[in-house]
Formats: sequence, C-alpha cells, structure tokens
Amino acid sequence: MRRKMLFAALMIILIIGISGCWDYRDINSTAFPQLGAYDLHEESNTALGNLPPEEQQIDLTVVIPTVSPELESKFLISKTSGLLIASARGQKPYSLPGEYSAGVASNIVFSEALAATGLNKVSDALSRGALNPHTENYSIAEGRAETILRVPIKDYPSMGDYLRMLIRSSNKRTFMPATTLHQFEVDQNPGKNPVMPLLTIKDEKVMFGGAAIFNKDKMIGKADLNETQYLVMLRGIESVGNLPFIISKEDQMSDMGSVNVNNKRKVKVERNGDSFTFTITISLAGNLAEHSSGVLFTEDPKLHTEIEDQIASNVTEGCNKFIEKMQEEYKVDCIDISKYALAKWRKELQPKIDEGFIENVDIKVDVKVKLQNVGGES
Amino acid sequence: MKDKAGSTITTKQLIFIIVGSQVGIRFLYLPREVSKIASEDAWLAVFLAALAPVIIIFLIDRLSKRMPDMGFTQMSQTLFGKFLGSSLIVLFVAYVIAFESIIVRIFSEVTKLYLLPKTPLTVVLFMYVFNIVYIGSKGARVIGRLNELLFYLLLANFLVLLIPLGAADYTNLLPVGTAGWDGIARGTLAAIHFYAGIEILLVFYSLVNRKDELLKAGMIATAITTALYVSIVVICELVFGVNGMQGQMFPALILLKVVQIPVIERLEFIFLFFWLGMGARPAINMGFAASLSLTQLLKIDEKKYLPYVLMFVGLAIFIIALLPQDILSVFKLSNYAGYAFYVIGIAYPLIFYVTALARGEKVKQNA
Repeated sequence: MRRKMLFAALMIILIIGISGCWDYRDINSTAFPQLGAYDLHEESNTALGNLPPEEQQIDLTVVIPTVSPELESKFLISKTSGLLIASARGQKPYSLPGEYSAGVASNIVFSEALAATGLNKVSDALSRGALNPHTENYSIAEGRAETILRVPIKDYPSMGDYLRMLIRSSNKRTFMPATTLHQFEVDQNPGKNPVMPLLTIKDEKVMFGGAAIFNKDKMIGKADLNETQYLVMLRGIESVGNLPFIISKEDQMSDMGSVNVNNKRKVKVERNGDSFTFTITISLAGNLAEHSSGVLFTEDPKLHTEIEDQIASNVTEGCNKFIEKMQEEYKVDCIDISKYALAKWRKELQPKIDEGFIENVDIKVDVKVKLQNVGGES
Repeated sequence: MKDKAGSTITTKQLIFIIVGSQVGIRFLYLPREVSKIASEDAWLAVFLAALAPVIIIFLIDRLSKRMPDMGFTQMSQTLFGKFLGSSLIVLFVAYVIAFESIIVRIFSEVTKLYLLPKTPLTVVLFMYVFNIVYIGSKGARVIGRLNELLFYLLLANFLVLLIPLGAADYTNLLPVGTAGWDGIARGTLAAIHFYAGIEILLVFYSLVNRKDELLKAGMIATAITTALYVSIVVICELVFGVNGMQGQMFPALILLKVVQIPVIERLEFIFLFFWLGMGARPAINMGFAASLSLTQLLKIDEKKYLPYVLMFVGLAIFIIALLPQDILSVFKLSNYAGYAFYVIGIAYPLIFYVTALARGEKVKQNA
C-alpha cells in the first residue's frame, strides 16, 4: 500500500510537471515568417524598433502570411534593424503582435552588398537556432534584398510562395544552383566555395539573373544566365535543362533546335611534380526537343550525331570560357574540383588549397552528349 | 553468497543491455569529438578503440570463470578484503552516479534545446530521473526486455540517419591515413571512452543465466556498438566533412536538419522523439547496476530495498546533474568522466583479474 501511495504521489508530480505546460503555443497568434530579406542597414522610415543608430547595422525584412481568410491582405511585411539578425528579430515584438517563430522561413535573400561583406555573421543566427531547419534556401538579390520582397505579386499568394517554388530544386528544372544553409556551410570547407542563385527584377517580376560566386562566405563575382549553365555543369550539380543548337554547313544554317538534357560529371586529377591537371568529363543525356530542318532522322542518320557534336562543341566552348574567367577573374574554385586533389594529397595541399591553387592548375573539359530519343517524329 | 537482483537475464538480453549502456546521447556528438583529433581517420580511430571493450570483456569473462557464483560486491571483498573491497565498490557507485549525471544532463539539455525550449531544465531532468528510478525498480529482467525493445527502435532510428547520405561527398573520407599514426592513436584514445558502459558487465554478469556465453554476448554487443559508431562517424564525415562538423555541437542530430522529406518536414524531431528512450538507457542500466551494488554492499534485502536505493541513486544523479552552470561546463566534465572510465572501466577488470591470478587457488576455494 505504501509503495502504491508513493507511486501515486510521484505520478501526480510527473503529471503536474508535464513539459507541454511550458511549451504550449497558440498557433493562431504566432507569426510564421515565410521569406526573409537581409540587407545592410539603410536609413529609412520603414524600419521599426528602438535601437540607437550605432546598433542598427542590418535590416531584416520578412513576409508573414496572414492567417485569417477575412483579411484583404494575404500577407504583411515587417522590417526591423539590429546589430545582426537575432538582434533585428528582437525588435519584432515592438511592432508585431503574437509570438515570432523564425524556424519556418523557407527562403532567405541576401543583398549583394551584404554578401560582399561576408554572410557567416548573419547566417549564424539561422545555423545556431536549434529550431531552424538547415534546408532554408539561400539566394542573392541584385541590389537590395527587401526590394525583392516588395515587388507586387498577383499570381501567387505572396512573394514567399513564389520564391519558394522558384528557388527550391531549381536545378531540377534548369541549369541553376539551389543552395541551402547546409550547402552554404559545407561549401566553405577547405578547397570549396559556395555559389548561389542570383535574383533580379525585370519588368516588375522577380526572376533568376545568374549565379553569385563566393570566396568562402564573401560574394566576389557574378555569372550571367549563360555562364551559370556552364558553372552548373562544371560543378557537377545534377540538373535538367534545355540547350539550343544551330548547325551550319558551308556558312549556311542547316538546322536549329534544342535538346532537353541532364548532366553528370566525372573528375580525374593527375600530378606531375607541382603541376596538376584536372580532366572534367561532362556527360549530357536526354532527348531532342525540336529541330527546324524537317529532315527525317531515318533518312539522314548522320543528323543525330551532328546535333550531339554541335551541343558538345557549344558546351565545351562555354565551359572553357568559364574556366578562363574563373582562373583569371574570380580566382577561386567555384567548380568544386580541388576536393579531388585533396582526396589524394590532403596533408600537403590543405594548408594552401585556398590560396593560389586553382589559378595555376590545368583544367581540361571533355563533353559527351548522348541523345537517347528524338521524339515521336523520325 | 549468490547475487539475486530479483531475477536473471538471458544472454540475448545481456547483449542489448551492453549496447544500451554504450549507445546513448554520446552517439550524437561522437563524430565531432573524434574527428577533431583524428580528422578524416576518425572512423578508423573509433574502430580501433573497440579493442578496449574487447579486452575488458575478455578480463571479465576470465574473472567470471574463476569465481562463477560471485557477484561484483562479493568478488571485490573476497579479492581485496572487506575494507578495500568495499571502498572499491563505493568508488564504482560514485563513478556511475557521476557519469550518469553528466549523461542525463546532456540529454536534458538536448531535449530542452530542440524539443522543449521553455520547459525548465529541472522539470526535464526530473522526468528522466523519475523514469530511470521507476524502470530500475522493476528489476533486471524488465531492464533487459526494455533494452531489447529500444534496440529495435534504435535500428529503425538509425535507418533514418541514412537518409542524408544523398548529400554525401566521398572525397571527405580520403585519403586514409591523413592524420598519421600519431593522430589516429590520439583519436583512438579519445574514442575509447565512448565505449564506456561496458564496465556494467562487472555487475550484470552474475545475473546472466548462461555464463558460458558471456564472452560471445560481449563480443556481439561490442561488434554492434562498433558498427553503429563507425557508421555514424562515416555518415557525418561524408555529409559535413571534418571541418564542417566542428561547428556542430551534435552533428548526428544536425544530419537530420539538412534534408527535407515531403510530409515529414522536420525529421530531427521524429528522431529525437524515439531517441528519448534510447538516451535514457545507459542511465537506467547503470543506475540499476549502482543500486544493486549498493544493496549488496549494505547486505540488505534486494527485493525489498532496491527501489529505495534506486531512489537515493536517482536523487544523487538529479542533484549532481543540476550542478554544472551550462552545457559547455557539462562537456568539460564529460571529458573528466572519460578519464574516470580509464580507471574504473579498464583498470578495475585488470586489477581484479591480476589479483585473482595472484591469489590463485585461495580465491577459488573461497568461491
């Protein structure tokens, strides 16, 4: 009987002390930011808060969907400033009722000016927060990031919804990198550097403008849309996209069209003393999407090979130009090949791999194209 | 005197108890701790460190064969005399309480950090200690069954940890031998204390119904633990790389934050939900071992008084677990606990066995 009493007493304490009592949250009164824009602080009257000017270094603008269907506006935009991100978040309660739950934002857009100063200091709040997933998509805005958030959106409930669909798995739809918080962090390991999609505003619409190139956490350059597709192929980001081609014979265009292909890469590294040679083999496989000449493949079996050769030639040329730009302008390994040298000679190379290594190596590109299908028409 | 402990356990249950005593919360930060020293060769260091529990098992098996009917307490008193033998038991109990306090505190911190941020630490700690005491009071057989059940959950949970392999980069593991012999040796030393929990065999061997299978059971358990440890280190290295891992306090948990699965948005919460039971296992097993040793030392009726002794042990774990100021202090203490394992976990079986050998036939006659 005494044991049962003791057990009952302990159970009562356990039930009273049940942890949910403290962590209960009313979902209706919680603000869930969907999209965040991080900028260097700029004097404006849109930022709300009470910090002294010297403590306002970063602007944090977020899109928060409204939960009530009766409201006319489907979302609200809240902007605050702070020393860093958590500090700017700390200013939200002054202008935002309810609890602020930062862990659900699926996209973070950084301004290029902020990215140039280094992103680790602002990314830390996302990485450190135990409740944050590391699958948040990172992207860079040309100009200020908050302007992206303020572009009027008609076809989607909010800019948060639009960017989530645009950016997430963008590499599955086109030759565009999709970078998450996790990738941004691991891409700063020795010999590696992150890349991110670059967003731009064109005709009052937010779209991809290319890719941002980083030296560790600092943005150092941009690649346009054309260069980005070669960057993606060279970097080995497995993607699916469309490549156009024009075939000329005797200075006359004989055929044009496009192919839908996916890409894969293999890298081989060889060493001769202090000189390193990388051979990147890019394999493109896919289908012919269209061609203009109307020549039947059954009648001209060579055409199939000619298209493959033309695509291979275009991609090889584009890749070589990009490699040249990388070695002469960016001077960082943004195509992620140094790791293959590290995998063989890590002890020796790791201390110097990020300083002048990639500029001085020989990089060869071999492109193989295989059109597996030419569609229903022969 | 034959140890009763309320019940006996099967060889299979012993395997689960050993695995359960080793694989707990430390599993979540083992890859960071070892890779900090052995860099890319961390997996190799963890593998080589398994030699320590193998030696411990071998020594305990030899001991159990020399004194098959003696429990840990009686063996200690027979080998070293009443005073020294009892002192060694008290030291063992103190070690277990201190070690488990650290384990329980780290686990409570993880729970608070990831699942219950606003719940006071005292409440989370109390919940764990309450469960440790309650389960322990049900006896060795229930502990064995619980360990078995949780082991299968552990396997299911471990499969979840394979999902992030989609983000793996094999070059992170290469080349083998980067750390050099020195780095691998230091990494092995650091990895040894992650096998702490094996010393529980000193107490549990007397409860096993088939002592002839002790060595086999110990080896199987160590093989399972080693496979789990090496796998998690390899997975973390593949996904984060050695440098990427150093900024993560619990890299094995962060693994689940890097992938998103439709419908199950937050994989780490599901993992932690199941891990709650697994994290408590070492404390349950070792808390029971400490309590059993104490009841035997005090020569009180195990069936009647074991729950009260468990309450005392639980209270001590609860109070000590509350002492460190923050998680960083706990990690520092965890390193000291690791050193203590070298003394209790490795030196105890060795000293016991050497003494038993030295005393030879005399001990056998007493047995």
